[in-house]
Amino acid sequence: MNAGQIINIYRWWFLEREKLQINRFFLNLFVKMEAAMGLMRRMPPKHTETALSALLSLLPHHSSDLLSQVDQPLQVVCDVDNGKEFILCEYNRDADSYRSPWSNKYHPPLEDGMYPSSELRTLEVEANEVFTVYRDQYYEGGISSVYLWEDDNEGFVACFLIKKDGSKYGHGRRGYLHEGGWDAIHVIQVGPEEEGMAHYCLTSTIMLSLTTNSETSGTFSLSGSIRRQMKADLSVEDGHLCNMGKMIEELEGKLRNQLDQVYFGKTKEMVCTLRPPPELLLPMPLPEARNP
Amino acid sequence: MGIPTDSSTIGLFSTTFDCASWTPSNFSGAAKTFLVDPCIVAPASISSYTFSPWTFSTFSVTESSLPRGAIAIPSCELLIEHDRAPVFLSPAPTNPPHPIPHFRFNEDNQSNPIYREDETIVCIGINLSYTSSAMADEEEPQETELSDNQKIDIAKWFLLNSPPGEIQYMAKDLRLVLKDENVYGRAASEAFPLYNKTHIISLQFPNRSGDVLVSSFSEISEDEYLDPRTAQVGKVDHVKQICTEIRPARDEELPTPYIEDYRCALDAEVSKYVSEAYPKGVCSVYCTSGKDVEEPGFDFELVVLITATRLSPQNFCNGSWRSIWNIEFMDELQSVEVRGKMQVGAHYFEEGNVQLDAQHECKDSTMFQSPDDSSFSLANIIRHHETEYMSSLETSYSNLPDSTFKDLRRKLPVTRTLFPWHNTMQFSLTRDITKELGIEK
Repeated sequence: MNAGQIINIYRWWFLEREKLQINRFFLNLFVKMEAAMGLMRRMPPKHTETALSALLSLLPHHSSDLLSQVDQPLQVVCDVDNGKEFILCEYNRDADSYRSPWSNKYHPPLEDGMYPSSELRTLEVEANEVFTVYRDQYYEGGISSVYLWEDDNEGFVACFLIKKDGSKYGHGRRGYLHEGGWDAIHVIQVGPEEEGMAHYCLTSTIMLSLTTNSETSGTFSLSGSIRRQMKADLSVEDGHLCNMGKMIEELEGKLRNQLDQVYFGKTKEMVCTLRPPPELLLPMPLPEARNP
Repeated sequence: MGIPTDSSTIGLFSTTFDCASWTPSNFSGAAKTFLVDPCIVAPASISSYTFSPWTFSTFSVTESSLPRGAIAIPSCELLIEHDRAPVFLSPAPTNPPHPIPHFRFNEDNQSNPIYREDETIVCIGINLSYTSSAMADEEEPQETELSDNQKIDIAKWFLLNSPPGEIQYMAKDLRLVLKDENVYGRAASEAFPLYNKTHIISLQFPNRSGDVLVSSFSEISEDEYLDPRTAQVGKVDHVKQICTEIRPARDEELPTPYIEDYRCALDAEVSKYVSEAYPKGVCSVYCTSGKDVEEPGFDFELVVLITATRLSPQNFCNGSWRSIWNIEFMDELQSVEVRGKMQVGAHYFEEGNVQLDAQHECKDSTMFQSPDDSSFSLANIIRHHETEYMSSLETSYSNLPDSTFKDLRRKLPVTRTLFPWHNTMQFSLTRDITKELGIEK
């Protein structure tokens, strides 16, 4: 490298130094966020809530990033108007209040809270009714809520939530589970209608935990979370609810299967590698005749 | 602040905006110049522009490093050409308060109009700054920065909850999150020894003459662990998880010949079993009480540790099995009491995070016999219980699809057909009918 080149590099650095510094600053923020997400990927899912609040206190500057990227277990509140329970999430929150899909009222009451347009609200009411039946048929219990709101590009966004306590103390029909929770979050973006078609983008997250407990086999606990996306362009002839519902049903079924077959299967495979079950081992040697 | 190199024309109070020249993509080039020096004010970049007749321009600032939470009150100065005074913009009130502030001109700002309705002005820069509400409003409770001790506690909590074999990865990420070598170092030095001992990690001697298990049963001091089989003591670097040096065990660290007979015989039997049952198992037998007993007539206790770890991060899967068997030799009753605890953990994390956590405890007993006979029956007891536990784990797994998991969500609806989304009117109709007939639950 000759002197001229060095001077050129120096000149470039001198001119760009401000930009470079800023980039380093952003890189630093990005690295921290990546590392935080790395921690969340490894923490036992039962500790998600605690881990998130720990990260929030360590990285106060990343609160909105963390809150938007880490899914937390869903919370439930009772609608004071009709005693029905509804699910809380970012999508029905305004200030510190949450809108009930049943009465369309904020809890606790809120002056000039945000509401969906009357057209969307009609669809929201219908979606909640139908989704209740869907949830009953697949879950035999649990709680569901659907929230709709306008988005910036002339379409709308819908959020379908299901929470089920499948333990024998909750809605577990068969009573196998000592503890069991299932939280499903389906967020679906619906694009504007064009020539009878609309673009749908669904992101589904499942968080679950199940524990069985018995004298003979001890405690057996599986927990986890996965998230998947699905996109489709569909004719709006059958209505948005029909299209959204079909997509949710398909992806939810896929996720359940993946958890069951792939994710639980992999942990079982691991256990069997650590200590292969008897049938995979050589037959147990017969006790040898022992000399006293 | 960054010196803007790009200037763009903004129309004011006109119903016919030429937005074409103001598309965000057009602006993104200029956005760089609006980044302000992070040392002076919070870094910000202009992310979006929207126009409406009564809004000069509403733009949001992507929050990158707001002072803690959303309590910062942003302010914004718009620098315009013609040597005019900067225009002060206030954040647009949004409900709920948007975490990302939007700025706009509103009519309140026009008490002293600096522009005319038909005027076109050129924006040459934007000056953004944040006042934290602690400064703006003293009554607001000011959130204090975490103390170092709190940070250490949090870091330790993360490290101790690492899945089997993943503490090094957690430590690497945690170090980046903390950005404080002092805090990280202290947390690691406290958490690693605890983690290593509860997970009973196995470390190879530097001369490869054997392994030492790090556990509370083999602990001689914080960083010295005994391997009774080779009668050696390994010095352990907890954070690096390696054994750095070895020395022969001193006499007082080893049991008497009478106890050693029992320990050694049990070690031989258990090792035989472990080599048969675990492809990569490690085991060791320690005397935890009564190691100075020299002849029959006294009680003593042995502990059997069995561990197996399989790490394959390239396949996104790690797991560990560990069992602890407490064996109490009761001289007076001539019986041997056995208490076992087995723990299994597995973690699969390809595009997700699923973990198994299982444990089981059991009890058994046998007769107090000669070292060889006792060891033989004890190894059989261990084999029996571990094999039984393994098959109960398999049963738990095979029960998942049709019973256990079904209590969370069924594979198919109770109707055994997919949900009739194309015909959902029926649900509202039946509901109306039940309501009319008054047979609603």
